[in-house]
Amino acid sequence: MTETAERRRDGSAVRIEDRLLRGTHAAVLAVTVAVQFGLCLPTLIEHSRRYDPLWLEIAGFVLLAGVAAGAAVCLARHGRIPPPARRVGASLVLLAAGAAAVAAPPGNYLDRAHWYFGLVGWYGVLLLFDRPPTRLALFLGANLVVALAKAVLSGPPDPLEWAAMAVSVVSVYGFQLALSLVIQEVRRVAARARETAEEEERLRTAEAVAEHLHRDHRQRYVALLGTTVPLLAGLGYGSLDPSDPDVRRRCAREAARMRRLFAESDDVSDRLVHELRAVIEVAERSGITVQFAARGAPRDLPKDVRRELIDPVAAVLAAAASSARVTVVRTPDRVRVSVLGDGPAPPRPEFASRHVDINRVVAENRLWVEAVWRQTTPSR
Amino acid sequence: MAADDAITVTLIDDHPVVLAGVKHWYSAAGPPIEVVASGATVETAWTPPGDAAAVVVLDLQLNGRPPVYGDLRRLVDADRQVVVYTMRDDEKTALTCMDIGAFTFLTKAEGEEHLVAATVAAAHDLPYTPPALAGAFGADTADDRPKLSLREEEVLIEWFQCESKELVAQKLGLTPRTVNSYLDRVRIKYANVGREARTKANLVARAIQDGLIDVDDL
Repeated sequence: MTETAERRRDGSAVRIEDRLLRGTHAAVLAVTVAVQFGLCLPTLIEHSRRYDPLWLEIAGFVLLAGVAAGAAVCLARHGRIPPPARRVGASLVLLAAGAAAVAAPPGNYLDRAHWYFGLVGWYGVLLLFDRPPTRLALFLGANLVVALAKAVLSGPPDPLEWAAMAVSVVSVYGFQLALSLVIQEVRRVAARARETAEEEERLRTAEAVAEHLHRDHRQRYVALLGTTVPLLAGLGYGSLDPSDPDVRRRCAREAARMRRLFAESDDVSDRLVHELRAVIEVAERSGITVQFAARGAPRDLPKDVRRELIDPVAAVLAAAASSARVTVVRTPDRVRVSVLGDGPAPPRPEFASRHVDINRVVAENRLWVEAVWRQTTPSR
Repeated sequence: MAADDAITVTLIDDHPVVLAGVKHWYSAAGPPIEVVASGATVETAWTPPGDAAAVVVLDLQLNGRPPVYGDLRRLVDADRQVVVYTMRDDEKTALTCMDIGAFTFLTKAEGEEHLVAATVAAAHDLPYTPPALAGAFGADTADDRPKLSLREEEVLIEWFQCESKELVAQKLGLTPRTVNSYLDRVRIKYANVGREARTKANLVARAIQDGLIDVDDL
């Protein structure tokens, strides 16, 4: 997968999952803070005379509020609570619960002055958001041990009270455990959403690649339309004679062009030389001895430039009688492709030359054509 | 034994067919050239009778091993006139051989005409720049390359492309003689920036003596 596609995947699929989980986590934080300040704070104030000492009870309350603030910072910065912060937070919450229980009036959590009992569960849901519900159950169990110790130490409750306490535990902690299960389900949905988005992204990429290939094929077909197709049609309908040397030359040239077009889609480091070799290979198959030499470091050239540089080579090789020399010279400001072929010079073949200059020398029964591409902004 | 006026050559190549072919070319050459020793290892050039030959023709890759640059350097340091004759056709190899102080660099694709002419030139301390080497000079972008004129660069590349001094002359509107003198001047400039070696001393001295190049040009 390309780097761009990777980035795009980050942009959609992963973000869906991320946003869903962040939103849920923020909602749990909001509920926790609302419970602490909307329900627990008024109770604390209302029963403030009963705590002994009051400062310890307040310290427990502030400590819990501090954990909520820390969680809010972590969520804003990282979108989640990192494991070390989670461990520290859970310990602090249990410490705060212990402090609040110590300072609370004798009795059990059925007394409203024991405000911390339900609130600690909410902190458990908040801090253990990314963990399986069993961790929350353990955390709630630890909290229950603290509350029960307080209840037993301040005078064992009677059976009726035990029953009421059990109902209260089931309704408060049961709800929080159920919520934890729901969160786990949300996580599963988010993961599925991400997978679906990734799959869609992959399909879109595959479609884009296929479309690109198709466009490439069409362009190549267009490139052949003007010359190859009439030649094939002529041969097919019998209007061109395969024994005519000129027709044979045209065939050789078209074969070389097609081979070069096929080579264009190959993935190689030195495209120009790769495509030239493809053209040379065709000439060699028809019995021409071709000497090839290249000098200078490979460099990237646009496809059109490569075509214009190579076309003359295909034409001269197609007309060569027995041997030819093909060279490439790359200097910082120029790329020169030269072909020297023996045999009768063809009647001045026309070359497309929008990007390159063509030089031609005819002498001693030899044709020498050179195509030169100049860098528009010389690098030296 | 060699005739008095014959050029003597030691031939080092690991392919018997190449040795036989080159011997045949030399035997048919205009000025007589005699191969006094031939073999598949560089020792041939250090032991009699190979140690006395005027020219050493050296294949760079013997028995599939990496190029024998070390051996080339030792031969050059012993004031031997070495013509590198190799399958390798890239500018890096060519320029490395020039740096070490080889007399010239020929690819095997360049064949009979150039090998015989290069051997004769080597025996007479006259510069000889075959097309493969000219291409390497022309595409050289090293910082320490000698300063060449635009015309000199042009001639180098055209000569590399067409291997015909007549065609180069026709294309650039020069005489073949002038084309030759451009090529020779470039070779002297390269020799002048190269290592101290017999090739350098003799080529440069001879070129100044013949008026091919001015001391100021170097």
